Amino acid sequence: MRARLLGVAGWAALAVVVLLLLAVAAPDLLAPGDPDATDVTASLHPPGWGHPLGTDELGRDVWTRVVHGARSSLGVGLVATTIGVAIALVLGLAAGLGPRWLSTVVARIVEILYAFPTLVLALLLVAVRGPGLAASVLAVGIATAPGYARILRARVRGVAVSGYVTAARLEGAGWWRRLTRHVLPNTLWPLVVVVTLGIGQAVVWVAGLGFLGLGALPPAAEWGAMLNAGRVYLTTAWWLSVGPGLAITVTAAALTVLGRALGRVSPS
Amino acid sequence: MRTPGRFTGIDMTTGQPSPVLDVRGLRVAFDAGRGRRTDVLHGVDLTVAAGECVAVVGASGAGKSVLARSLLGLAGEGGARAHVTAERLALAGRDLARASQRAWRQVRGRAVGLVLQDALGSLDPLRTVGAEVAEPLAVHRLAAGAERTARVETALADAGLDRPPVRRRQRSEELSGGMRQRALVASAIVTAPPLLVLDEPTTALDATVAVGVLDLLARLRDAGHGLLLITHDLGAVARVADRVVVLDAGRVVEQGPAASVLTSPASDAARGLLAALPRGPKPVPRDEPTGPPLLEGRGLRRVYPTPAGPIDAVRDVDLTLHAGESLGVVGESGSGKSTLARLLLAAERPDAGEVTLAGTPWSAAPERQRRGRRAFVRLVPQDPLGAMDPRRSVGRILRDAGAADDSAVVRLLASVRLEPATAGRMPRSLSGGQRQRVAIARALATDPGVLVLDEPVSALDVQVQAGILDLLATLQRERGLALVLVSHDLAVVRRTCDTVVVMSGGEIVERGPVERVWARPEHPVTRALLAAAPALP
Repeated sequence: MRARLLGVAGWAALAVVVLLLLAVAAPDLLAPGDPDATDVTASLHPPGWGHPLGTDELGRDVWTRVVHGARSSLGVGLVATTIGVAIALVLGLAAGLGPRWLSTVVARIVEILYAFPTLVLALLLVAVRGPGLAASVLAVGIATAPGYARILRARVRGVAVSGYVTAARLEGAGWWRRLTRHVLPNTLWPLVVVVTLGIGQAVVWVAGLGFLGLGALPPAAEWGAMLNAGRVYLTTAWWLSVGPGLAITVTAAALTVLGRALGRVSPS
Repeated sequence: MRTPGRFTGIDMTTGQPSPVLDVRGLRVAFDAGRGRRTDVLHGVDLTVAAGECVAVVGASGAGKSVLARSLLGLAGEGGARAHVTAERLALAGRDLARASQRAWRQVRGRAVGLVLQDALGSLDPLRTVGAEVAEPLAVHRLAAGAERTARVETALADAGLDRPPVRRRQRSEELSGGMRQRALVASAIVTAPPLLVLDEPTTALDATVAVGVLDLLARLRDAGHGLLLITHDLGAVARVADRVVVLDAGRVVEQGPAASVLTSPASDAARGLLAALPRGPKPVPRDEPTGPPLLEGRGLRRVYPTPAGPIDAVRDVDLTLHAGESLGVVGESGSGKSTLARLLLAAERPDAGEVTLAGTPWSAAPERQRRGRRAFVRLVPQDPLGAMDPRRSVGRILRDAGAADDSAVVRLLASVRLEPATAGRMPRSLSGGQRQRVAIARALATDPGVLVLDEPVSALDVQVQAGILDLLATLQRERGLALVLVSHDLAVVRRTCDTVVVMSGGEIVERGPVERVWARPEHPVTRALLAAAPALP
């Protein structure tokens, strides 16, 4: 039943996501070479036999770099989202289940975080920690937290006063039991859908920060940094930008489609 | 009150009176996937004359609502594709059997008005009542400016709303349930359509409010509107209908004058509906209560804050429930019945007074101490679906409620006459009656001494309701349960309870043995409730 509901697009998206996860876990299976191996004799080869996505100015294979870049780009998206969700869980559950004053305080914190532009936050963190993946991941994580926190707070509040949680209380279920058996499952499942959408967003954000030079530094194989490096050769060697650009687009699209498909399947 | 315009009611070719609605051989089928079709209506014949009220009655699933929607060209709305065919489907003299969507749009709101059950859902909360009522006039470009306002106010007045110029500017949330229903009726009659289709217009209303709406329908009928009343409430039929059409499994199985169908029904379907009506006293009366009270409330008071200041939802209520006693709590909505039920369950703390359980503190005890004893006092909620975790199957819900193992789940399901396989179903996939049975099974899981039932049958149709009431009576007899039955329906309470308290404005205004209160009501509120009960043979 559920398999059919996921739909063709949903299954295709799932296949892409599985491939991406494979690239994260074992990139050598998809691209056995060394992503940083230079070969000056083969610099700036257009896509063709042996180099499906061409080579860059130092003769590095773009396909190999894109595959190996999945770990930092997608991994970074995952870590950033995890950070965001972790912060949101603390804030959202505290605001949803805690006393009124706490809820008000958290709501203000969330609003401040919301109002703070991600880019400025990233610049701030880079200024403090120096450029690198860690700073951009943290920036994206913090920037996405308030969105999740709001969803969680609203959902937790709705579930906490729902008929079935009241019914559990009148059946003698204690606070902990109501939280773990009813409130959390009914709160977190809708979040799974949003988070799947959010990972794609985070990947784009981290790549964007990488493109601006605020994320991973060359020669790291990171999609945003690769895009930035390819920018110089855009008129002569378009494949340098197309490879990582496609990777970002396909990743974000697959995660979005999958997120929406999950949203349809999930029992609300 | 204006008479419906344009349509003269006289057939131009023959000079004979022609009906406002003339349907012959109406068939409706829905796509059931893979090219198959499910037939819902198998050739229905139906006529409604001007100034006549025809009631369509039948059990759930008989096809009543599909019939109503088909008469507005809306059969395919919301769900599967519908295939509608009819030999004749004439509305106000215009044959619409093969009408396009465009033609239907010209008819809806003009030749036929629709009033739905859910008055709150049918009114846009962001628009004023006046804007909602004026919509048919605007859509059909029938009136504008001051004339539109005047017609809206006339319609509101015709629908029985006081102070139309004020009501017109209000929004639906500022109106009570009965006023919303009247506003819906106003929007249906503002264009003076020859035919009004009313789909369960009083089901969601209090008995006393429903009577007012039914009187309004009678006035509209007398003013010349043709009324098609879709309902499962035979009391409503008895009050306003001239003729009754009994629908069963998509076929008309009986039709005739209301009085004769209600007194001497010819079809099994009509007999079943009549037999299911709650009437008469409790079949097995109980002996006088003895022993100490099981659940006792003294001087109960509960205050809720509202924008208009705090109001007493419950005030100075004393109540005693003995073991095995069945106590009815009746009153209109807002009278404090549900709040009283919540106080008895210790779901809320009273602001004054105390509830004791078997002589020991109950409302005053800390929740930690109450937890273990909650197994003894159980709730059957008004909305059983909302009280079930949507992620859990029936079996898991019963296990959560206290059923020890799978065999206990099966025994519980059997005690409420449900199949063992129900344990694997999700609550949402169950029918209304099945959900209520699961809710009762759930309450019984810990073998309680007291069941508090909050409007347990108000959302169910009469036949399902009769099944649930029988079940409650049996359970009470077999297990010696004490029941607190909250209901707005005195007939339901009379059928199930030994004693009754009547609430109004948060206070108990009358109490006593059900039969005494039924025969000799003392308080005006009780008399009004009794007067609103269906006057059936």
